[in-house]
Order: sequence, then structure tokens, then C-alpha cells
Amino acid sequence: MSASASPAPASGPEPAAGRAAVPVRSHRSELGLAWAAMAKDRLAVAGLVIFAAAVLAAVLAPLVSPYHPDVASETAGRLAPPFTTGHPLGTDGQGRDVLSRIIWGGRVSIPTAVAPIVLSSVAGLVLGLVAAFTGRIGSAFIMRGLDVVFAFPGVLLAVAVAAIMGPGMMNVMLAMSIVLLPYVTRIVHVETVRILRMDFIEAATVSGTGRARLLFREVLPNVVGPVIVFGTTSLGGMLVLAAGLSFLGAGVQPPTADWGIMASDGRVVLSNAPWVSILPGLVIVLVAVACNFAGDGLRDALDPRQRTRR
Amino acid sequence: MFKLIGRRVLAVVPILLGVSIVTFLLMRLVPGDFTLTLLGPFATEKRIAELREFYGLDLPLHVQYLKWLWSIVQGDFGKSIAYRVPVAQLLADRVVNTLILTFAAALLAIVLGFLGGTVAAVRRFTLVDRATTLGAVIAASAPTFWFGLLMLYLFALKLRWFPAIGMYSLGREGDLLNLLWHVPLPALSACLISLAVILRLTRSGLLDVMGQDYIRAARARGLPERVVVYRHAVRSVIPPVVNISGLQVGFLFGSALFAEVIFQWPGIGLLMFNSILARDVPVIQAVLMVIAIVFVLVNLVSDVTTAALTPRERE
Repeated sequence: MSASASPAPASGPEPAAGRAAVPVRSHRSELGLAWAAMAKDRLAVAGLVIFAAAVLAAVLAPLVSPYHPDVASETAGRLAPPFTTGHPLGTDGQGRDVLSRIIWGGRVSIPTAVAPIVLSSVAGLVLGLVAAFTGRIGSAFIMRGLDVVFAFPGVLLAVAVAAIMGPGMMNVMLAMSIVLLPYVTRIVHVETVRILRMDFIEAATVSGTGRARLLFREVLPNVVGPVIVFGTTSLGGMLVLAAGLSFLGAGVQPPTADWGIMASDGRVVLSNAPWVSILPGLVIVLVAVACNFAGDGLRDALDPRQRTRR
Repeated sequence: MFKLIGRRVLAVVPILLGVSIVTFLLMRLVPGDFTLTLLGPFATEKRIAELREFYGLDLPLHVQYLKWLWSIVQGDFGKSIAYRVPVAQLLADRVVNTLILTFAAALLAIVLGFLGGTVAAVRRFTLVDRATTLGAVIAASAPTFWFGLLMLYLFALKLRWFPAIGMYSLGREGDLLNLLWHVPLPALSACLISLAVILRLTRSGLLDVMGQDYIRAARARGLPERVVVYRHAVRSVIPPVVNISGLQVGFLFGSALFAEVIFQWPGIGLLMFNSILARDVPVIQAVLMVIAIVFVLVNLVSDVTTAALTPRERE
């Protein structure tokens, strides 16, 4: 929008090619430019701050949460409404402090969303690169196989896998990774095939670069970017998916708190104590929206064309 | 055109086969063996072996798969562990109930999403546009079960406008009016995410089109704005919207699962939810299979429709 915004990338060389030619300096300034663009995006910054606050609260839970998450309050009793003294968000059906349970719940909900992204990113990178490097047969085998996973609606596949393997946090994370894997692999595969056709790859091949070096030094650094962008933009959705699986009873088992389970537990007292299930749900919405804003901001910031347009 | 339909239909066959393989293999993910679930912790070795033979678990994997596939093709999904009746019998009514809910949700998502997106695009950068876009962002990122709980609390438990649970009131099964009174809350909570997706696509697509030369030409010819927008611009946004709507139907089955659980809608989602607790693997497997087949077929229809609506792809 403003004319003074980041003038460099438009006049500079193509980022991928530029990075390959002058790795260190160009790379650093690239990140610097992205950071500057991100800092200007108010929604993205707000999202980042909210997500960071949620992570910090979860990490520091033993220090910041006012009560033990699984122990009933002695003073307030059951179903104390929000704004009760000592219990700003009220208590639940068993007299446990809702705020403390939300803070502790982040310790389950956030990692359950992040771990599948990391897992599927690594697996997707390997599969996508292998598919692209093994030529037609390899890529047909891997990509057509993963296409089948697209034929299932993601939520249902995750629910089914988690249900069949039995309830538990590990199984939920594994189920979510299976749902994400085809997306990551497809991104890596498409991107790798595109890069392998570019001039700098030919230049590297001509100058005698081996296949392993080509893969790790030339292709991999250029594929990691899109994977990171996909990971950050899918974080909000994964948070919601994890909460949904917990809500259906496929996740962690009681008395451990998790935002999805809290919302599910509150259903039985919904008519006279709606806060017990609505508030944890609201936290999921808030953090998921924040993640989406931050993710979108990061995606735009890392894309030089989007950056100059601002 | 017919060639295109034929090609798309042929492409669906390997996908359906793949779906059946994945569904079959999922069954193998059961820790241990499902005969253990069936017989409980005090099962004897002999009884387990007998049951394994009865279910054909002692055969090689590919033989098991082919036998299983053959029975699926005949409509035999095995026997439910929890209900002790054939799964196909359990599914029959519930599939229809789920389709009713999903259809209602799809209708709401497409109509409201398209209208909302058009209004937001026509009044771009006004308060209406900003409110709609922000609402869509929140709707797209919030969990379905949260909307469901919120609507259950507000419209059913507090305002009492709609019933809280079920598909019909007691004793009025099969009454269409009664059904229409039960369907709005679950359908609305199930459709919100798809509605937001369709709304955003319509808005951005329409804004894109509005900047093109033929729209400027239409305006220059002195056509009223109403005609320019609703006759000229909207028309070219329809194919992508049809395409994304087809994709969204699949996601609607996922959202409908939560709506069914919250509003106790007697569909396959609720059946699946109850089967999770009971570890009723044959039922979960059948539900997954049925929904994947419907999903693939809906996508096929939307693909062909999109192609039919786009002159470039018609040849």
C-alpha cells in the first residue's frame, strides 16, 4: 500500500536463484525483509502475540495457574459462575478452576497440534523428494498411493484411525499426521519437480555435482520454505482438529485437561453452566484464529511478490 | 462432453479400489487382534484360534482382502460387535438421515455463502464487507462442536426456538414439518466452515472479475450496475464456486459428525461416535468406506459440472 515499503526484492534477482549463488548474505537479508514485512502486518503480529501468550502460559503452567487443574476448589464449590472471587472463569462440574484447567490444557492441546505438523513435514519431505528423484515409476507409486488418502474427508479419516487404534494422545497425533502427509508430500513433490527443471540445477549438474549433493545442497533448501509455510498455515486447523478428536473421546484420558475434553465434559451442564464448555471452546477459537492470522502473515511475508504489493 | 464424463468415471475406479485397500488395512491397525476385543481379557488360546479361523484371519493378507472386497460388493459389511446385527442393517436408515442433514447443510452453505460473498464484494471496503469477511475468518477457523454447543445453548435451551436433540419429536416420526423444525440447528452448525470458505471464494472471485475489461465495457455501455453485477460478473464466478462446493460436501460429512453428536441426530456420525467408545471396528470401517465412496462420487459430479460450465474445458 505505502510506496516506501521494501523496495529491494523487486529489483533483486530471483530469490531461489539468488540464494543458490550467494548463499549467506542474500539468505539473511531475505529473512530480514520477511521480518520487516511481517512486523507491518498488524493482524499477523496480533496473532503471533496471542499464540506466544498461549504457549508461554502452557509452558509456565505450574507457575501461573492459580490452582491445581485436577483438584476441586474448597471455597467456591461446584459450577461457580465466572467472576467469582478467586475463580475469574468459574469452576466446572467437579468444582475445578476453569482458568487453571484451560492453562494446563494448553500443555496437551498445543503439542497435539504441533507434533503432527512436524512429523508429517519430515515424512512428507522424504517421500516427496524420493518420489521426485526416483523418476516416473517412483513418483507414480508414491503419489498415486497418497492420492487415495485425499478420497477420505480428513476429519473422518483422523477419527477412524484414532478410534481403531484406541484412544490416546499418541494415536491422535499419528492419525492427524496421516491426514496431513499427502498434502505435504504433494507440495514437496511439485516444488522439487519444478526446481529440478531450473537453470541453476543444470548448472550444478554440469559442474559435476553428485546426486546426493544436488539433493541436500541445491534442492532441499528451496523446498523447506514452502513446507514451513504450509505447516504454519495449517497450525490453526490442526488445533481445531485435535480439539475435535478430543471432544469425540479419542484423545487424552481423564482427569488430564485438554480444551476439547473440557468442552465435551461441559455438555452435561450446558443449560445451567454454559461457561464450562463454551469458554474452553472460545480459547480454541481465539488461538486458532490467531494462528491463522500469523500463518497467513508469515506466508505473505515470505513471498517476495506479495511483499512488494503491500 | 461424453468423452470427458467417461474419462472421469474411469479415473474413479482405481481411487475406489485404493479406498477399499486403505479401509481394509486400517482394520489391521487394531492393536493385537479384534478377536481379543470380541472375546475379552479371559479368552482361551483355543477359542481365539477358532474365532480367527471363523473370520478368516489365518489366511494370507491378500486373500483376506479379496474375500472382504467380494462381500462388500455384495453389500455385506460384516457384523457389528456392539449391536450383534449386520452392519449393513445398522447403516441403512442412518445413511439416509446423514444425507438429509448433509444436504441441508450443503444447501445453507452454498446459498448463504454465495449471497454473502456477492454482497461483500459489491459493497467492498464498507462496514458490511469488513464484518462479513471477519465473520468468515472466525467461522472458518472455529471448531464445529463449539458452534454446535453455542447454538444448542442459545436457540434450544435458552430461547427454545428449536428442539435440542433428535430428528423428530416423539410420535411424529416421518412428519416432514417436524423434520424441518429439527434440522436448522444441526445443519447451521455443520455448514458454517464450508459457508465461510464458499463466501471468501465468491468474494475474491467476484472482486477479480469486477476489475476486468468486459465489466468496464458493460459499464461504459451504460448498463445499470444491477445488470452488470448480477448478469455479467456473477456468471463467471459460478464454475469455481461449484467446484469448491463439491469439495466442501466431503468436509461437511466431517462437520456433520460433530453436529450429529451434539444434537443426537441419528445418522452414521453418531453411530460412529458410539462405535468409538465400544471399539466397534466393523462399524467404523463401514462408515468410513461409505462416506469415502459418497465423497468420491460427489467430487466426480462436481468435476463434470464444472467442466460443463467452463467452455474451455468442454472440448
